[in-house]
Amino acid sequence: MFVTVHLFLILVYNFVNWNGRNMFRFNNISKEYKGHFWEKKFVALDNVSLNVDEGEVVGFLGANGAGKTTSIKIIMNFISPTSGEVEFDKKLGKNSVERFSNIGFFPERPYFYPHLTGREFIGYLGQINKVERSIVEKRLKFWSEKLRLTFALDRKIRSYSKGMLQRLGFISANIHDPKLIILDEPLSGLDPIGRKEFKDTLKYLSESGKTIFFSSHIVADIEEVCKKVIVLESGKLMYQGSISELIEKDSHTYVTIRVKTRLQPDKDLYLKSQIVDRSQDVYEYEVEKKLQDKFLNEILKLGGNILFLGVINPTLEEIIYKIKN
Amino acid sequence: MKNILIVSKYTFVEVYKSKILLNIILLGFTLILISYIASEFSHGVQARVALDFGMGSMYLVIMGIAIFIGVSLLSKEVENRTAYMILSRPIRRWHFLAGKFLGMSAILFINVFLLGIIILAFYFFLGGGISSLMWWALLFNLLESQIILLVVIFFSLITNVTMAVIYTICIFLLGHILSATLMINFIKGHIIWINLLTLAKWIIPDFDKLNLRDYIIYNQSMPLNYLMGSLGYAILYIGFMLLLNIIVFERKELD
Repeated sequence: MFVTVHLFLILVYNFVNWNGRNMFRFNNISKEYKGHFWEKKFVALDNVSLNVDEGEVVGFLGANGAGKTTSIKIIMNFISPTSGEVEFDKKLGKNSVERFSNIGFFPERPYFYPHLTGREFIGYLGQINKVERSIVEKRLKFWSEKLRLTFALDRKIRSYSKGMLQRLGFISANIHDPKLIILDEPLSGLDPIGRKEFKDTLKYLSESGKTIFFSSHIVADIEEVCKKVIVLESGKLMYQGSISELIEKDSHTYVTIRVKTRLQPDKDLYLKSQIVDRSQDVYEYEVEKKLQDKFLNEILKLGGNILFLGVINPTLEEIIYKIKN
Repeated sequence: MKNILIVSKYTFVEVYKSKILLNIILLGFTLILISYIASEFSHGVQARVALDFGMGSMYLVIMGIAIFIGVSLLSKEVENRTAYMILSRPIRRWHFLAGKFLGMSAILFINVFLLGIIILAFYFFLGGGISSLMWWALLFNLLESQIILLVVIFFSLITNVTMAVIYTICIFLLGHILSATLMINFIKGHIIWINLLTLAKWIIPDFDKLNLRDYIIYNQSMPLNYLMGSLGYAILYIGFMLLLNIIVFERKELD
């Protein structure tokens, strides 16, 4: 009886909280690994609830071992959670097979069949996705030109460099024009030009209305591409929400003031100082916003000149570091 | 069903392009050379000795291919995450497994066919006569290699690659000696051993049923109902092992 009531309440809770725009969501997902019976169990994910809305580009951030890849494996049904469930939008399909025809997936460090050519491999995936051969060819042409891989399509995959493999993996994730794209560390191992190309491509896909969920341990990449971020730390959810809100909440706290002054202001009025040009008496100070006016008055009183005043916006990296600590 | 054929096609293409077939042809000619050398030491039964050596060596080579390609057929795909690229598509896991098995079976079929043709051609060249049992022997060789393939896939799904090879070799050896062991007088005198080995015969494949090489060498004939019985046994065992692999693979955590 108690169990029935409990299940009913969970059902009602889920119904009330269900946001129709969710592409997928985690409901209290936990994943534990147990080795031998004498070993302690390892908790990879601890009661994680998150959601990704339609049309969003969501960054999935966390240090190595935070649980990002485990979460993605659960989404992709490669492993099952110890408890909790993943709910998908009905638009993606009624069952896992239907759903996967609308999901594009790119695993971390993708491997391919080394003796097939890039074209054969994409053809293989196109056939499994039941995409007509002519459409596969058209999309392959488009993506290989965009990602500069056309020259290598008829070569065996074993001759591909790491960047070329990443590009092929990216093409394979998009060959069936999915609604939801899940990328696990897509930018790892790419050179700066490759990273820029990938980020531009993600922006292009976002503008085309795709929902993108991509994991990374590099904050700057996520900050550049995503509007929303989900932060995991040691299997626990630290933050999920808009990046701009997160930054705004913590921004405009400090200002940088560059002044020309012979006499130094009171040490209590600033946090840090550095010499810019000793011969010209130019210094730069980091000042708390609330002390800004007091500091400026002090400089003017000392007969100094104000050369520059700028607001310091903390990077997402600094904010994440703060959340973690 | 279409997905099974697609996976099998590309499994075949991948192995074919790895130039394994070229190696098989070279191996075929090596077998001819070995058979020829062995036949030179015989007196008057050159063709028979050549056939014995040829069929025996071919049999071991095919089993080796089944074990060493089979062990990495799925485990390597999971380990290297190639399987992720396929299983993240609209395909059921058992379709993927069945496709892999079918593609690899096609490779085994071509190996048996090519090596068999080379060995039989040499046998005929040395003056040997044709017998319908030879074709049965080739077919049984193929079926045995498919059973071994499924056994090694099964072990590769539940343990690591090294242990999977060791377990499969054990099953291979047990499958060949179980029937003969039951004939030993010591065993015949102990009901416990008889029951134990009979039970083992139900679980472990009885490869003795599929071994026709001695009958061919000594020009003996086999009744059709025995051959059909062995064929049915092999097909049923393949079906059973395939089902077992599907159950394990469907539940496997692809970590």
